[in-house]
Amino acid sequence: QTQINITIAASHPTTIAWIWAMQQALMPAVNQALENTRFRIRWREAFGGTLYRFTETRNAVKDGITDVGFVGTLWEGSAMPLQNVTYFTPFATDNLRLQVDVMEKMTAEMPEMQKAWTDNNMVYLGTCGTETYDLWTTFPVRTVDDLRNRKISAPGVSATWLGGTGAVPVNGALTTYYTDIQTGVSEGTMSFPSGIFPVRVHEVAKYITKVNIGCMYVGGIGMNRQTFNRLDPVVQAAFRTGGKAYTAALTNRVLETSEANMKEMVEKGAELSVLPAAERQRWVDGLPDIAGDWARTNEGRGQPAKKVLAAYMDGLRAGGATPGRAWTA
Amino acid sequence: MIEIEIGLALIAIMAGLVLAGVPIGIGLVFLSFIGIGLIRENWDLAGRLLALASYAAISDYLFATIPLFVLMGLLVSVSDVGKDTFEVAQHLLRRLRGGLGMATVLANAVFGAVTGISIASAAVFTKVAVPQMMRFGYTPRFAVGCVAGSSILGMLIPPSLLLIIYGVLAEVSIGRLFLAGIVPGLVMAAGFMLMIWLLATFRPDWVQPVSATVAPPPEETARSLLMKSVPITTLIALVLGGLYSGYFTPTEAGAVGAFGALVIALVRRRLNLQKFWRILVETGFVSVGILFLLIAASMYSRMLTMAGIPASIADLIQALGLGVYGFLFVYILFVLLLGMIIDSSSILLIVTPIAAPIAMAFNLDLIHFGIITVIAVEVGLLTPPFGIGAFAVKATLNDRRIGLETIFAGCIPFIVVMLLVLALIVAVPGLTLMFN
Amino acid sequence: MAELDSISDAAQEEAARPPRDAFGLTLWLLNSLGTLMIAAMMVLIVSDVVGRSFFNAPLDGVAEISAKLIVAIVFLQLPAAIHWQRMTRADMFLNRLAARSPRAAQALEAVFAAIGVFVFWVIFDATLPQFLDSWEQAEFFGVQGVWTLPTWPIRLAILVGCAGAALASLMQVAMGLKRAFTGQPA
Ligand code: NA
Ligand code: NA
Repeated sequence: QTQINITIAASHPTTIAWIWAMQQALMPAVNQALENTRFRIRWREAFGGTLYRFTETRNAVKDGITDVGFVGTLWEGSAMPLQNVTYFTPFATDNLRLQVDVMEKMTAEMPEMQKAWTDNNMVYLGTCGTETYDLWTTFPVRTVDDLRNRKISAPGVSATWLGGTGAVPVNGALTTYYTDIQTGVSEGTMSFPSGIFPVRVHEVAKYITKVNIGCMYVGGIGMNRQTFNRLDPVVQAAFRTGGKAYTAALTNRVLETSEANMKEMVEKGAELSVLPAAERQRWVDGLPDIAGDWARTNEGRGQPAKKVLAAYMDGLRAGGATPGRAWTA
Repeated sequence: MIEIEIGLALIAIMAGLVLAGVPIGIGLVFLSFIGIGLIRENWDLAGRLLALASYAAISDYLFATIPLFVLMGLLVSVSDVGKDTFEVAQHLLRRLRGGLGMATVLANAVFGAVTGISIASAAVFTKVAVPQMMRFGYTPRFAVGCVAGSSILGMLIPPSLLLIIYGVLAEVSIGRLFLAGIVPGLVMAAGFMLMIWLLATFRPDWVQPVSATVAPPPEETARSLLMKSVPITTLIALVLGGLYSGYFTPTEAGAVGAFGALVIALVRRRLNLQKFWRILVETGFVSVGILFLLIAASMYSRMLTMAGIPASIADLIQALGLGVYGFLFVYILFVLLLGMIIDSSSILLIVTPIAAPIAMAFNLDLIHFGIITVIAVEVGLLTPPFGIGAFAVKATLNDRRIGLETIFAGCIPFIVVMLLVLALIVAVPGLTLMFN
Repeated sequence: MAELDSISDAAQEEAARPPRDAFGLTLWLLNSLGTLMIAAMMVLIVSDVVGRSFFNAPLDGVAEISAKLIVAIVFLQLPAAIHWQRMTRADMFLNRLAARSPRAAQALEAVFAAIGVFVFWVIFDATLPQFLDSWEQAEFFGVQGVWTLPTWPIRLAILVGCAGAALASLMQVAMGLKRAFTGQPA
């Protein structure tokens, strides 16, 4: 019997699906894969940000502060820009399974995508994405014009999705939306059911408008490269299996939770409507060249963003999706 | 389980170092480095974790506003807004025994509505109330204890930095938490005032052994009272009004409040460029003390996490197989113990993610649980060896004749009241859920 | 008890004036830079609130910039806080020791200061490669396409702050040892 100490950590608690799947899918799958071998993992769990904050998810795995960790590439626009292609191609797809598939394939097969993880001293194990983004507002949204001069909580890159609508993006975080909307600092937000339901924004912004802004790739599970290389091939394979189990369990969980949460919000009085296709198209057409600007900026920094953008859009189309806009650079 | 032994040993060494007088932040960084190096048997890693935490631990909008709350406190002090508030309270309570002590509590409760951190209240009222109380024959121990003790109202009555941090960690609405803090804050203030009256009546030697031999304060007229109430009322209206009508967020309240206090100071002609610069420099000194402690405390709690201390305590609490009150008792005890050795936001970081799911499993409302947690955490501001509320009074007082131990001793009656109110709030959840 | 006020007022006034010696002046200037950044942060946040509430024109990135600024502020002000002994500590034991044996108290002060030299050297040493990385890779924060700012100035502030803090601590080691040997009071 060989016992191996592995620290597994995350910046968020296991109440969030992204982290839940680490504890409930990845860890059991690794254990199971090692069942008839001489190896046992002694897990040391540090979920919930007790070991590091969300701004440190990449560094924590890179530096070996944890052996396995959830890495939010959405917070790593500088060090891992290519992984953020989905945030700069809004309205691309609402098919989470397809997107997860495409991103996982790109990470495995494109040296350009693989490099970001290797350069940061990590081995990529599993994939994490969100369901499509929609609108939660204090007022009904029937046309794009209804958004004009409205204050919408849209921190970070999501502010660009409001480009051309005349809405005013307001900073904030998932945990501040409720208060911000309740007091009037903002009048709504863009989010997805499984993320927004726990913070009960539907109580203060009861108009839910399905816009289908698209699914987003959040990041994945990284393993410290030295830790990984020190392991026996049998154990390495077990971690790869664990990563696959993570991706599958998480995607299922997100989709199930999303549906259940949306249903419950409507039962509790939220008014659900769908933005008419023509209005959605007006929104899409009014957007600036988000993807093109992003690709050019990163090409200027020596990152093969054009190639990644093309591969992503082609991958979606090959999987049967029809992106709302043919983002190119 | 060698890691846990290292962790426990380092907690003991920390207590020793703090008592011996090592600058607390530096001691915590040092022990974090040693602890991580020993636990991971990797000294490079320990160094990298220190560097990472230096860059990231306080890099948050929330912490960025701490200097602004401090600045507001100092501006309020220099423009005599705190003093006026205190004098109005003093006048209203002049016929009661221990009236000056009660006035300190009342003024703190009012001031608590504009400040989000207790050390700001402590800084303001150390300068305003302590000299006044001592002039009227109150014991130094009671005077400083009264200021430190009632300063905790600053983080119970909204806005509150601790409630914001808890809300972020437990993922509950900060707005609802703020509403939940109002009644417990008022109950706490009433409890403090009752305790002061009882002490002043039955143990005058503890409070005011000799009655005032100096001239009584100038008679207040309706007009003078009104004039003295205008600035604080304006500031409260600005901060609370702005918060609840959606002009700004709780995080932004510090900046708006500081700006409002600056305008008041200018209008009252209490500020020239030179004085403003002096206040800004002082703001820097006070904030760097607190923020560096927060960085160091974050390193220290990361080290304890690596040692597995929080996890094994959670396991222990679960293994005890307690009922809901048993759990709360052990939990509060644990928070009180942590409060003796680490700072309030680190306690929240350590306990909230572990305890909130357990509380939910016991069907406790997370808002109710949040208020319980924050009061228990706030006791830690007043307990030695690491009591940042007492430190703030000491730092502001800057008087060698009044030692830290005097301040800690003076806090004892206030801690007793806090524990009684805490028990009341555990028993009556409705006190926190009134407005929810 | 008017002197209670005047003591801390005098201390505040002294801290606000630039000192004469070169080292003290350097620390004072770093501290002043941090102080100005605090004032700037207040202006920035209030402008954002006013712009957003009254003109539908929020300032981009105030939250993120403040979050980064605060790190620079702390490290720029740290050396001065150490040099002028404003770090929070419990001095009951030291005061009693100083009353009985001033030399032992001074020796202990030197030991504490040496711990400071050590920890700030460790942080400096581990931050240096991070600073070089952020410089070479043009690391930024913010949102590409909206606004981005380089992170190296923040990491540089940590380096400068740790260097200053280590030097200030080193001077206290020397001072403590000198007093411990000569028996000269603090
Ligand atoms: Na408050
Ligand atoms: Na304490």
